Amino acid sequence: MIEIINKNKKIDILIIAEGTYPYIRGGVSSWIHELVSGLSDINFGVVFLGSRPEDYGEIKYKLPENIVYLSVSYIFDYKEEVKPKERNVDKEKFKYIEFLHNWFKENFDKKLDLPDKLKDIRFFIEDIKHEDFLFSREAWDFIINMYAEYDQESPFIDYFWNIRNMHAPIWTVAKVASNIPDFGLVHSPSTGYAGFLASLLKYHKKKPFILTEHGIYTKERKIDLMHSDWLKDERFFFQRDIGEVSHIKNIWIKFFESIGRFIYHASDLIISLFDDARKIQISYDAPEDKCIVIPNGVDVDGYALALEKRPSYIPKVITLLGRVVPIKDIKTFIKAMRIVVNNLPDVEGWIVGPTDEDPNYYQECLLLVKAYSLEENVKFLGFQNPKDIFPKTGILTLTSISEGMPLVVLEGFAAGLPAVTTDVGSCRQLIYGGLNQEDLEIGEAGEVVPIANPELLSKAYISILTDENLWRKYQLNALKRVNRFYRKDQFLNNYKKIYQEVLKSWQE
Amino acid sequence: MAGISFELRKILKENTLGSILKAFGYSVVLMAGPYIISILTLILAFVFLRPFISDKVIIQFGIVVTYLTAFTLVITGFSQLMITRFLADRLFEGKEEIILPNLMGNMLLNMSAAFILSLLFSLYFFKDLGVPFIIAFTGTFSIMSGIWIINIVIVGFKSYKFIVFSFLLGYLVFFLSSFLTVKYNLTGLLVSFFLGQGVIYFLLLSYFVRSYPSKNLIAFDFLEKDKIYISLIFSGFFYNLGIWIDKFIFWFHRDTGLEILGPIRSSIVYDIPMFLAYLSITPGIAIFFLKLETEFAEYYNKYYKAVREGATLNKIYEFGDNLLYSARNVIFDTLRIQGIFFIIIIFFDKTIFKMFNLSFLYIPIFHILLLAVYMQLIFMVLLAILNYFDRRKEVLILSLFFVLLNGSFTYISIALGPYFYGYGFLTSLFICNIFAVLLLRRFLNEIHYQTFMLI
Repeated sequence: MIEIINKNKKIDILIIAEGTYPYIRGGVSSWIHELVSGLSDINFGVVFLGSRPEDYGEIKYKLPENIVYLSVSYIFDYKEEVKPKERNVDKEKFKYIEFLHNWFKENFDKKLDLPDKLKDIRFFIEDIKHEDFLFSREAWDFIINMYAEYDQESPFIDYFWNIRNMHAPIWTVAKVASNIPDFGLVHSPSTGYAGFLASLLKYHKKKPFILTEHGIYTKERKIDLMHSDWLKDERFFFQRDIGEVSHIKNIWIKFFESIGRFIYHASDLIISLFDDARKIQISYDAPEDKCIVIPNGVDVDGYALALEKRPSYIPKVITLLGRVVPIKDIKTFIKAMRIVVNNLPDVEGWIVGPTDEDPNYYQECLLLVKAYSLEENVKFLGFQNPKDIFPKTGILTLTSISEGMPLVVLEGFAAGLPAVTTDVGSCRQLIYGGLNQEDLEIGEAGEVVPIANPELLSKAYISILTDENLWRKYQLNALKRVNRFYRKDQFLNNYKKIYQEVLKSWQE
Repeated sequence: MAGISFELRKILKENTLGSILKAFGYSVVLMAGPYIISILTLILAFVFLRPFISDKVIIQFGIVVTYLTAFTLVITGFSQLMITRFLADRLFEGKEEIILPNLMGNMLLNMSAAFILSLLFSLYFFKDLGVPFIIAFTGTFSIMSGIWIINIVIVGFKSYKFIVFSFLLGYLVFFLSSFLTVKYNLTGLLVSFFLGQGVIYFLLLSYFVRSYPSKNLIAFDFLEKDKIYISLIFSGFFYNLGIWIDKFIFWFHRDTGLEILGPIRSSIVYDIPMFLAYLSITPGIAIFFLKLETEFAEYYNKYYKAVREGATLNKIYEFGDNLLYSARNVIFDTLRIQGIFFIIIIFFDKTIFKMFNLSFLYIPIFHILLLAVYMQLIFMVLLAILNYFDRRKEVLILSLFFVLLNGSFTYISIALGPYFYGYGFLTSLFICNIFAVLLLRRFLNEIHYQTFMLI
């Protein structure tokens, strides 16, 4: 663990960032940056958990003054910390590992919290040490016995390194936990190893722990694992049943599910960005009474000028704001545009966002535009400032096959733009309302259609562009909703209130 | 060792008695060729030069050569294992171009150290023998140090014929020129010897330069601490010192050593039987080299390939067992073959002594030393296997242990009296071998654990 900043001030909120802030740019990183910058009267500490030092460059953000502590640790860099040396472990102590193994085997489906012993970092630092797991004869015997029992047909070196890489970070994390200074409350923006560290800190320092999940970590890991090439199933065709998942993949999935469950049990509050995410958390055994939704917010006032600049008429432009990559399903938008242009020849479709991330996909899109003879109507504008684009736009659209909580929809609302999106992530909640009864009563701010359906998409575009009353209604509802529920100051106030309440109730 | 192992394996593939003998013959020539050539030439020279020179000078010359050999080996001991490993690692990384400059750098370092030491030594002790003697002594001392360093890398080359040729030519030059220089007595003989060693050195060097072409001539990458293993520097030194320390003690102990030339002393009672005994392990060295570089190396590669390339644990265990058996085979086959020769030599001891015109008084101590060098052969085998597995700590402990035991036991054996001469050397090796076997067994028993968990 390396301390980058330590101003020796009291840390109110400690944030655990796994592979994000402040070294990597992205959604979660910006979210942390907004939160910390916005709550400038609170002192924050940041613990960065990276994989290996060579994976990261310089700090990518201008760190706000109220970050009083920043430390960096790498979870796959354990060789630096402990030198390989043969050793034995107390057999009695190691028996607990066997007990744990059986415990997991028997109780995995019962959705229990992990045994209490694992909540005490002394277990990882005194009883079974990092070097015990990595280098002891007992650990070796245990690993080969497990291999012989469950997986003796797969390449041993893969099995061995998977088991090692899966478990070794636990000790690194436990060591990090034992070195962190005091704080008021720990807040982790994901489960995984960051959430695990936050959980250990909660039990170790006896402080409250808040979890905010942007995506569903366990689910994402599961998708990654299912598609990963680095876990090839080497078995011969006849050696496995169709659809059977390799043993190692299964262990990884169960590992992340167990850790996820442990974290859900440890956290005092589980926050998601929208309601569907909350439901998925509950399906992954998050206790329902701890789960709440706090949406992201946008700087509504920052879009006032874009709203003012709008012309009196409705521009015949449909804008898709996003990177040109397959997950955004740009092709469906192009197909829908063909149908729109058949009915309303003067409508334009603008695709605003970088095109260099997946050049092949971009080329395919260009070819599709050409094949549909849409060169006059569909334009790729590259990266542009949304505030310049919004006043020239009639409808903001997203055709993605997967989204979390797309801020661009809210930004469009703030600039007075109705939205048409596919039914992914929190889009339905943003457009139709769904936070609560009041939100529902505000009404629709656009339309939501199924994914990969150009026909319904074009229908929605046409109906909005040809019915000015409908458009005005949607715009009004959009402005109402974003001002009522999705303002950045509200988002910040929500977190401020939560911090205060959790700290207060914890002291009692 | 790749080139020559491949050659030997190819011969063995024919799988006939003839091919086994052929491979064995190659190993003998390769491992013991230079050594046998030098000893035979020296003996021949003594026989032919006798009419022209006094026995005293001949003995002086023989002992000076022994000293040159012993002390150059001990001094270069610091480098031998270290530089071998360094070059092997660089070859593994595919950096062929830094082989030559680093070997040259290391050689230069050793030769300079040898030059300075021998110059100071001879200026102090040999100033009465004249400038030509001092030049020949320091020159030979430096050049022999260079030869030991080149020899390390060159053993692995395919062209053992060239190596043998270099030694033959070098000793021929010495033999022929000695008839011209013999009239200048000891100095003359040493100048001839210097000439012969020079021929060998430059032949080997030119061959080496051609085999590893490089843009640079000299580099000192091997001085970088993270590229070498410090323990190997000391293992190499202790091992070479261990081999000679009993001789040193016999030479310099007042009960056993005789003054020959200035500070140079010798111990006839110990040296002559020791010299014969060392000749006897030639077949053992050959068979050990053959077994290690063919069968063992093959199983070794198979095992680590299985580990790396994703074999199941069952397969890894199977290959591990094979590797273990072949390590055992290397040791047992060397024991067996050398055992047979040991018995034959014991049977014919009197004939051999008559042949060399030596007193039968040496025969009892010869028997003890025969057994002792047999043990030393086994010690070599065990260390070679441990080095193969990169057990640096074990090798360091064993070589240090060997120096200490051989030194102290030899000293005690002299104190106990003439009946015990040689027992110090023998018992120290016996104990070291038991210790080495225990360490090797301890490692091989958990080779899988060591391979996976401790890298």
